[in-house]
Amino acid sequence: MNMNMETRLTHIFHEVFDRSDIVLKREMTADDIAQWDSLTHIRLIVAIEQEFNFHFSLAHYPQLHNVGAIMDIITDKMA
Amino acid sequence: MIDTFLSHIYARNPGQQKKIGAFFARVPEARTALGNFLTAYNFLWETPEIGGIAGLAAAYLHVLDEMAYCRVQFTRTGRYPCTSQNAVKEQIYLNSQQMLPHILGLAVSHYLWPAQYQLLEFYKQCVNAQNTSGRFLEVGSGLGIFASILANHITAKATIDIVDISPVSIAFAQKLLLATNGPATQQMRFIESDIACHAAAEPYDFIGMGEVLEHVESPSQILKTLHGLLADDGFLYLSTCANCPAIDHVYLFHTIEDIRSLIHDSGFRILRELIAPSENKPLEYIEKNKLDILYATLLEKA
Repeated sequence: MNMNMETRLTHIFHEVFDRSDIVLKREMTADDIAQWDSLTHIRLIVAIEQEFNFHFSLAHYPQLHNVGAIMDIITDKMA
Repeated sequence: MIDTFLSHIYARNPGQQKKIGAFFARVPEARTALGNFLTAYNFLWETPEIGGIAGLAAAYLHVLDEMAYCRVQFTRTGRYPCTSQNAVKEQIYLNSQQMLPHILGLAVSHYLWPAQYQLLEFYKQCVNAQNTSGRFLEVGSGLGIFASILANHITAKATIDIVDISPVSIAFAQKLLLATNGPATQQMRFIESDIACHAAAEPYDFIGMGEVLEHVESPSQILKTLHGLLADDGFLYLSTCANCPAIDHVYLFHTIEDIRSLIHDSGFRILRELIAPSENKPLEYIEKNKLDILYATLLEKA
Protein backbone atom coordinates (compact mmCIF):
# COMPACT_ATOMS: atom_id res chain seq x y z
CA MET A 1 0.00 0.00 0.00
CA ASN A 2 1.23 3.49 -0.81
CA MET A 3 1.82 4.93 2.69
CA ASN A 4 2.12 8.47 1.46
CA MET A 5 -1.22 8.21 -0.25
CA GLU A 6 -2.79 6.56 2.80
CA THR A 7 -1.44 9.26 5.13
CA ARG A 8 -2.80 12.02 2.91
CA LEU A 9 -6.16 10.26 2.60
CA THR A 10 -6.35 9.73 6.37
CA HIS A 11 -5.74 13.43 6.88
CA ILE A 12 -8.63 14.20 4.50
CA PHE A 13 -10.95 11.88 6.43
CA HIS A 14 -9.95 13.57 9.71
CA GLU A 15 -10.67 17.01 8.25
CA VAL A 16 -13.93 16.18 6.44
CA PHE A 17 -15.47 14.20 9.28
CA ASP A 18 -13.88 16.36 11.97
CA ARG A 19 -12.55 13.28 13.75
CA SER A 20 -8.89 12.57 14.41
CA ASP A 21 -9.52 9.02 15.65
CA ILE A 22 -10.36 7.54 12.23
CA VAL A 23 -7.93 4.81 11.18
CA LEU A 24 -8.59 3.89 7.57
CA LYS A 25 -9.30 0.30 6.64
CA ARG A 26 -10.01 -0.86 3.13
CA GLU A 27 -13.41 -2.34 4.02
CA MET A 28 -14.62 0.89 5.67
CA THR A 29 -17.90 2.40 4.40
CA ALA A 30 -20.39 4.99 5.60
CA ASP A 31 -21.60 2.30 8.01
CA ASP A 32 -18.39 2.70 10.00
CA ILE A 33 -18.27 6.50 10.24
CA ALA A 34 -21.36 8.14 11.74
CA GLN A 35 -20.58 11.49 10.12
CA TRP A 36 -20.37 10.02 6.58
CA ASP A 37 -23.62 11.22 5.03
CA SER A 38 -24.62 12.65 1.65
CA LEU A 39 -23.22 16.11 2.48
CA THR A 40 -19.88 14.97 3.84
CA HIS A 41 -19.64 12.47 0.96
CA ILE A 42 -19.50 15.40 -1.48
CA ARG A 43 -16.98 17.23 0.71
CA LEU A 44 -14.88 14.06 0.82
CA ILE A 45 -14.83 13.73 -2.98
CA VAL A 46 -14.01 17.43 -3.47
CA ALA A 47 -11.20 17.23 -0.89
CA ILE A 48 -9.69 14.11 -2.50
CA GLU A 49 -9.80 15.73 -5.95
CA GLN A 50 -8.06 18.84 -4.61
CA GLU A 51 -5.43 16.93 -2.65
CA PHE A 52 -4.52 14.48 -5.43
CA ASN A 53 -5.15 16.86 -8.30
CA PHE A 54 -7.51 14.85 -10.49
CA HIS A 55 -11.26 14.61 -11.11
CA PHE A 56 -13.28 11.46 -10.60
CA SER A 57 -15.24 10.45 -13.68
CA LEU A 58 -18.93 9.54 -13.44
CA ALA A 59 -17.94 5.88 -13.88
CA HIS A 60 -16.00 6.07 -10.60
CA TYR A 61 -18.97 7.19 -8.52
CA PRO A 62 -20.55 3.78 -7.84
CA GLN A 63 -17.24 2.77 -6.21
CA LEU A 64 -16.79 5.80 -3.97
CA HIS A 65 -18.65 4.30 -1.02
CA ASN A 66 -15.77 2.11 0.11
CA VAL A 67 -12.33 3.22 1.33
CA GLY A 68 -10.50 0.40 -0.47
CA ALA A 69 -12.08 1.31 -3.81
CA ILE A 70 -11.24 4.98 -3.27
CA MET A 71 -7.61 4.05 -2.51
CA ASP A 72 -7.45 1.92 -5.66
CA ILE A 73 -8.71 4.76 -7.85
CA ILE A 74 -6.24 7.23 -6.31
CA THR A 75 -3.38 4.76 -6.75
CA ASP A 76 -4.39 4.24 -10.36
CA LYS A 77 -4.57 7.99 -10.99
CA MET A 78 -1.16 8.59 -9.36
CA ALA A 79 0.56 5.83 -11.36
CA MET B 1 -40.80 -6.33 -1.96
CA ILE B 2 -39.86 -3.13 -0.13
CA ASP B 3 -37.20 -4.91 1.97
CA THR B 4 -35.66 -6.46 -1.14
CA PHE B 5 -35.65 -3.09 -2.88
CA LEU B 6 -34.03 -1.30 0.07
CA SER B 7 -31.46 -4.07 0.61
CA HIS B 8 -30.28 -3.63 -3.00
CA ILE B 9 -29.76 0.08 -2.33
CA TYR B 10 -28.09 -0.30 1.06
CA ALA B 11 -25.71 -2.99 -0.19
CA ARG B 12 -24.33 -0.67 -2.89
CA ASN B 13 -24.58 2.62 -1.02
CA PRO B 14 -24.46 2.19 2.79
CA GLY B 15 -24.91 5.94 3.36
CA GLN B 16 -28.45 5.62 2.03
CA GLN B 17 -29.41 3.38 4.92
CA LYS B 18 -28.81 6.19 7.40
CA LYS B 19 -30.64 8.78 5.34
CA ILE B 20 -33.64 6.69 4.28
CA GLY B 21 -33.83 4.93 7.65
CA ALA B 22 -33.98 8.27 9.50
CA PHE B 23 -36.65 9.55 7.09
CA PHE B 24 -38.86 6.47 7.46
CA ALA B 25 -38.47 6.60 11.27
CA ARG B 26 -39.67 10.21 11.21
CA VAL B 27 -42.34 9.76 8.50
CA PRO B 28 -43.48 6.10 8.58
CA GLU B 29 -46.28 6.79 6.11
CA ALA B 30 -43.59 7.45 3.47
CA ARG B 31 -42.40 3.84 3.88
CA THR B 32 -45.97 2.65 3.46
CA ALA B 33 -46.34 4.84 0.37
CA LEU B 34 -43.13 3.38 -1.07
CA GLY B 35 -44.45 -0.14 -0.48
CA ASN B 36 -47.71 0.73 -2.23
CA PHE B 37 -45.83 2.34 -5.12
CA LEU B 38 -43.58 -0.69 -5.60
CA THR B 39 -46.53 -3.09 -5.51
CA ALA B 40 -48.89 -1.03 -7.68
CA TYR B 41 -46.41 -0.71 -10.52
CA ASN B 42 -44.76 -4.12 -10.21
CA PHE B 43 -45.91 -4.91 -13.76
CA LEU B 44 -43.60 -2.09 -14.95
CA TRP B 45 -40.58 -3.20 -12.95
CA GLU B 46 -40.94 -6.70 -14.38
CA THR B 47 -40.62 -5.52 -17.99
CA PRO B 48 -37.33 -6.51 -19.66
CA GLU B 49 -36.25 -2.86 -20.03
CA ILE B 50 -36.27 -2.38 -16.26
CA GLY B 51 -35.24 -5.84 -15.05
CA GLY B 52 -37.27 -6.28 -11.89
CA ILE B 53 -36.94 -4.65 -8.50
CA ALA B 54 -33.13 -4.95 -8.72
CA GLY B 55 -33.23 -2.97 -11.95
CA LEU B 56 -35.33 -0.27 -10.30
CA ALA B 57 -32.85 -0.07 -7.40
CA ALA B 58 -29.97 0.16 -9.90
CA ALA B 59 -31.74 3.03 -11.68
CA TYR B 60 -32.12 4.89 -8.38
CA LEU B 61 -28.45 4.32 -7.51
CA HIS B 62 -27.46 5.56 -10.96
CA VAL B 63 -29.39 8.79 -10.40
CA LEU B 64 -27.69 9.22 -7.01
CA ASP B 65 -24.27 8.82 -8.62
CA GLU B 66 -25.16 11.29 -11.37
CA MET B 67 -26.39 13.82 -8.82
CA ALA B 68 -23.26 13.46 -6.70
CA TYR B 69 -21.11 13.89 -9.82
CA CYS B 70 -23.00 17.05 -10.80
CA ARG B 71 -22.91 18.34 -7.21
CA VAL B 72 -19.11 18.00 -7.10
CA GLN B 73 -18.82 19.87 -10.42
CA PHE B 74 -21.21 22.54 -9.11
CA THR B 75 -19.14 22.92 -5.93
CA ARG B 76 -16.09 23.45 -8.11
CA THR B 77 -17.54 25.71 -10.81
CA GLY B 78 -20.79 27.20 -9.44
CA ARG B 79 -22.45 26.18 -12.73
CA TYR B 80 -24.70 23.41 -13.97
CA PRO B 81 -22.96 20.87 -16.22
CA CYS B 82 -25.00 21.78 -19.29
CA THR B 83 -26.34 25.09 -20.57
CA SER B 84 -27.93 23.89 -23.81
CA GLN B 85 -31.48 22.61 -23.79
CA ASN B 86 -30.98 21.01 -27.23
CA ALA B 87 -27.85 19.16 -26.10
CA VAL B 88 -29.76 17.71 -23.12
CA LYS B 89 -32.62 16.74 -25.42
CA GLU B 90 -30.27 14.86 -27.76
CA GLN B 91 -28.19 13.24 -25.04
CA ILE B 92 -30.94 12.32 -22.58
CA TYR B 93 -34.59 12.88 -23.49
CA LEU B 94 -34.32 11.13 -26.86
CA ASN B 95 -31.95 8.44 -25.57
CA SER B 96 -33.86 5.62 -23.87
CA GLN B 97 -30.66 4.16 -22.35
CA GLN B 98 -30.20 7.42 -20.45
CA MET B 99 -33.80 8.51 -20.00
CA LEU B 100 -35.36 5.35 -18.60
CA PRO B 101 -33.11 4.96 -15.52
CA HIS B 102 -33.39 8.71 -15.06
CA ILE B 103 -37.21 8.80 -14.86
CA LEU B 104 -37.29 5.62 -12.77
CA GLY B 105 -34.77 6.94 -10.25
CA LEU B 106 -36.54 10.27 -9.96
CA ALA B 107 -39.94 8.60 -9.60
CA VAL B 108 -38.80 6.46 -6.68
CA SER B 109 -37.05 9.45 -5.06
CA HIS B 110 -40.52 10.84 -4.26
CA TYR B 111 -40.79 8.15 -1.60
CA LEU B 112 -37.16 8.12 -0.41
CA TRP B 113 -36.26 11.79 -0.04
CA PRO B 114 -38.06 13.99 2.48
CA ALA B 115 -38.22 17.03 0.18
CA GLN B 116 -39.56 15.04 -2.78
CA TYR B 117 -42.14 13.36 -0.55
CA GLN B 118 -43.29 16.76 0.73
CA LEU B 119 -43.58 17.91 -2.88
CA LEU B 120 -45.74 14.93 -3.81
CA GLU B 121 -48.04 15.56 -0.83
CA PHE B 122 -48.25 19.26 -1.70
CA TYR B 123 -49.23 18.37 -5.27
CA LYS B 124 -52.01 16.07 -4.01
CA GLN B 125 -53.35 18.91 -1.85
CA CYS B 126 -53.31 21.30 -4.82
CA VAL B 127 -55.10 18.77 -7.06
CA ASN B 128 -57.68 17.90 -4.40
CA ALA B 129 -58.59 21.59 -4.16
CA GLN B 130 -59.58 21.60 -7.87
CA ASN B 131 -62.91 20.86 -9.51
CA THR B 132 -63.17 17.27 -10.68
CA SER B 133 -64.35 18.28 -14.14
CA GLY B 134 -62.75 20.63 -16.62
CA ARG B 135 -59.65 20.70 -18.75
CA PHE B 136 -56.36 19.60 -17.19
CA LEU B 137 -52.84 19.78 -18.57
CA GLU B 138 -49.83 17.91 -17.16
CA VAL B 139 -46.46 19.13 -18.43
CA GLY B 140 -43.38 16.94 -18.06
CA SER B 141 -44.97 13.63 -17.14
CA GLY B 142 -41.86 11.62 -16.29
CA LEU B 143 -43.03 8.15 -15.36
CA GLY B 144 -46.62 9.39 -14.96
CA ILE B 145 -47.03 9.43 -11.16
CA PHE B 146 -48.36 12.98 -11.02
CA ALA B 147 -50.64 12.39 -14.01
CA SER B 148 -51.98 9.33 -12.19
CA ILE B 149 -52.93 11.55 -9.24
CA LEU B 150 -54.83 13.78 -11.67
CA ALA B 151 -56.47 10.75 -13.27
CA ASN B 152 -57.70 9.56 -9.86
CA HIS B 153 -59.15 13.00 -9.17
CA ILE B 154 -61.21 13.61 -12.28
CA THR B 155 -64.74 12.58 -13.25
CA ALA B 156 -65.97 11.48 -16.69
CA LYS B 157 -66.51 15.10 -17.71
CA ALA B 158 -62.84 16.03 -17.46
CA THR B 159 -60.00 15.74 -19.96
CA ILE B 160 -56.26 15.54 -19.35
CA ASP B 161 -53.58 16.42 -21.88
CA ILE B 162 -50.18 15.01 -20.98
CA VAL B 163 -47.25 16.73 -22.69
CA ASP B 164 -43.62 15.63 -22.49
CA ILE B 165 -40.66 16.31 -24.74
CA SER B 166 -39.31 12.77 -24.29
CA PRO B 167 -40.82 9.84 -26.22
CA VAL B 168 -39.54 7.54 -23.45
CA SER B 169 -41.51 9.44 -20.78
CA ILE B 170 -44.66 9.56 -22.88
CA ALA B 171 -44.49 5.82 -23.64
CA PHE B 172 -43.99 4.84 -19.99
CA ALA B 173 -46.56 7.29 -18.65
CA GLN B 174 -49.08 5.88 -21.13
CA LYS B 175 -48.22 2.32 -20.11
CA LEU B 176 -48.52 3.16 -16.40
CA LEU B 177 -51.79 5.05 -16.74
CA LEU B 178 -53.39 2.46 -19.01
CA ALA B 179 -52.68 -0.24 -16.45
CA THR B 180 -53.72 1.69 -13.34
CA ASN B 181 -56.32 4.18 -14.57
CA GLY B 182 -57.66 2.26 -17.58
CA PRO B 183 -61.09 3.91 -18.08
CA ALA B 184 -59.76 7.42 -17.40
CA THR B 185 -57.22 7.08 -20.22
CA GLN B 186 -60.13 7.49 -22.65
CA GLN B 187 -60.16 11.09 -21.46
CA MET B 188 -56.42 11.58 -21.87
CA ARG B 189 -54.23 12.65 -24.76
CA PHE B 190 -50.53 11.75 -24.66
CA ILE B 191 -48.59 14.36 -26.60
CA GLU B 192 -44.88 14.19 -27.37
CA SER B 193 -43.95 17.84 -27.68
CA ASP B 194 -41.94 20.69 -26.29
CA ILE B 195 -44.41 22.66 -24.13
CA ALA B 196 -43.20 25.83 -25.84
CA CYS B 197 -44.79 24.48 -29.06
CA HIS B 198 -48.01 23.17 -27.50
CA ALA B 199 -51.26 24.83 -28.57
CA ALA B 200 -54.78 24.16 -27.33
CA ALA B 201 -58.18 25.01 -28.80
CA GLU B 202 -59.54 26.00 -25.39
CA PRO B 203 -57.79 27.18 -22.23
CA TYR B 204 -57.04 24.78 -19.37
CA ASP B 205 -58.63 25.00 -15.93
CA PHE B 206 -55.63 23.45 -14.23
CA ILE B 207 -52.04 23.05 -15.37
CA GLY B 208 -49.49 21.01 -13.45
CA MET B 209 -45.84 21.46 -14.33
CA GLY B 210 -43.42 19.73 -11.98
CA GLU B 211 -39.69 20.27 -12.26
CA VAL B 212 -39.54 21.51 -15.85
CA LEU B 213 -38.41 25.15 -15.51
CA GLU B 214 -34.85 24.21 -14.54
CA HIS B 215 -34.58 22.13 -17.74
CA VAL B 216 -35.05 25.03 -20.15
CA GLU B 217 -32.91 27.95 -21.24
CA SER B 218 -35.72 30.49 -20.89
CA PRO B 219 -38.11 29.77 -18.01
CA SER B 220 -39.84 33.11 -18.59
CA GLN B 221 -40.79 31.99 -22.11
CA ILE B 222 -42.35 28.79 -20.73
CA LEU B 223 -44.31 30.69 -18.08
CA LYS B 224 -45.53 33.07 -20.79
CA THR B 225 -46.73 30.05 -22.79
CA LEU B 226 -48.52 28.62 -19.73
CA HIS B 227 -50.10 32.01 -19.02
CA GLY B 228 -51.59 31.88 -22.51
CA LEU B 229 -52.81 28.29 -22.09
CA LEU B 230 -54.45 28.83 -18.68
CA ALA B 231 -58.04 30.00 -18.27
CA ASP B 232 -58.42 33.39 -16.59
CA ASP B 233 -59.86 31.68 -13.48
CA GLY B 234 -57.58 28.64 -13.77
CA PHE B 235 -54.78 27.44 -11.50
CA LEU B 236 -51.17 26.57 -12.20
CA TYR B 237 -49.21 24.16 -10.03
CA LEU B 238 -45.50 24.71 -10.49
CA SER B 239 -42.42 23.18 -8.95
CA THR B 240 -38.75 23.81 -9.59
CA CYS B 241 -35.56 24.08 -7.56
CA ALA B 242 -32.65 26.34 -6.68
CA ASN B 243 -29.01 25.22 -6.69
CA CYS B 244 -29.92 21.71 -7.81
CA PRO B 245 -27.28 20.45 -10.24
CA ALA B 246 -28.27 17.46 -12.37
CA ILE B 247 -27.26 16.08 -15.75
CA ASP B 248 -30.30 17.62 -17.44
CA HIS B 249 -30.65 20.89 -15.51
CA VAL B 250 -29.90 23.94 -17.60
CA TYR B 251 -31.26 27.04 -15.86
CA LEU B 252 -29.79 27.91 -12.48
CA PHE B 253 -32.03 29.63 -9.93
CA HIS B 254 -29.75 30.87 -7.14
CA THR B 255 -32.44 31.59 -4.57
CA ILE B 256 -36.14 31.06 -3.94
CA GLU B 257 -36.54 34.81 -4.39
CA ASP B 258 -35.26 34.42 -7.99
CA ILE B 259 -38.11 32.00 -8.65
CA ARG B 260 -40.73 34.20 -7.00
CA SER B 261 -39.59 37.21 -9.02
CA LEU B 262 -39.91 35.23 -12.26
CA ILE B 263 -43.42 34.11 -11.25
CA HIS B 264 -44.51 37.69 -10.53
CA ASP B 265 -42.91 39.05 -13.69
CA SER B 266 -44.75 36.39 -15.70
CA GLY B 267 -48.15 37.64 -14.57
CA PHE B 268 -48.98 35.15 -11.80
CA ARG B 269 -49.95 35.52 -8.16
CA ILE B 270 -48.73 33.05 -5.52
CA LEU B 271 -51.59 31.46 -3.58
CA ARG B 272 -49.59 28.95 -1.55
CA GLU B 273 -46.09 27.61 -1.61
CA LEU B 274 -43.78 24.94 -0.28
CA ILE B 275 -40.08 25.44 0.35
CA ALA B 276 -38.35 22.12 0.92
CA PRO B 277 -34.56 22.03 1.43
CA SER B 278 -32.95 18.77 0.40
CA GLU B 279 -31.07 18.45 3.68
CA ASN B 280 -32.31 18.67 7.23
CA LYS B 281 -30.53 21.96 7.92
CA PRO B 282 -31.69 25.53 8.54
CA LEU B 283 -32.59 27.47 5.38
CA GLU B 284 -29.79 29.96 6.07
CA TYR B 285 -27.24 27.13 6.03
CA ILE B 286 -28.79 25.65 2.87
CA GLU B 287 -28.64 28.99 1.00
CA LYS B 288 -25.16 29.87 2.22
CA ASN B 289 -23.80 26.50 1.09
CA LYS B 290 -25.81 26.52 -2.14
CA LEU B 291 -27.55 23.22 -1.41
CA ASP B 292 -30.66 22.06 -3.25
CA ILE B 293 -33.98 23.63 -2.34
CA LEU B 294 -37.19 22.37 -3.88
CA TYR B 295 -39.91 24.92 -4.42
CA ALA B 296 -43.55 24.24 -5.26
CA THR B 297 -46.41 26.68 -5.58
CA LEU B 298 -50.03 27.06 -6.60
CA LEU B 299 -50.62 30.12 -8.77
CA GLU B 300 -53.41 32.08 -10.36
CA LYS B 301 -53.27 34.82 -12.93
CA ALA B 302 -52.52 38.22 -11.41
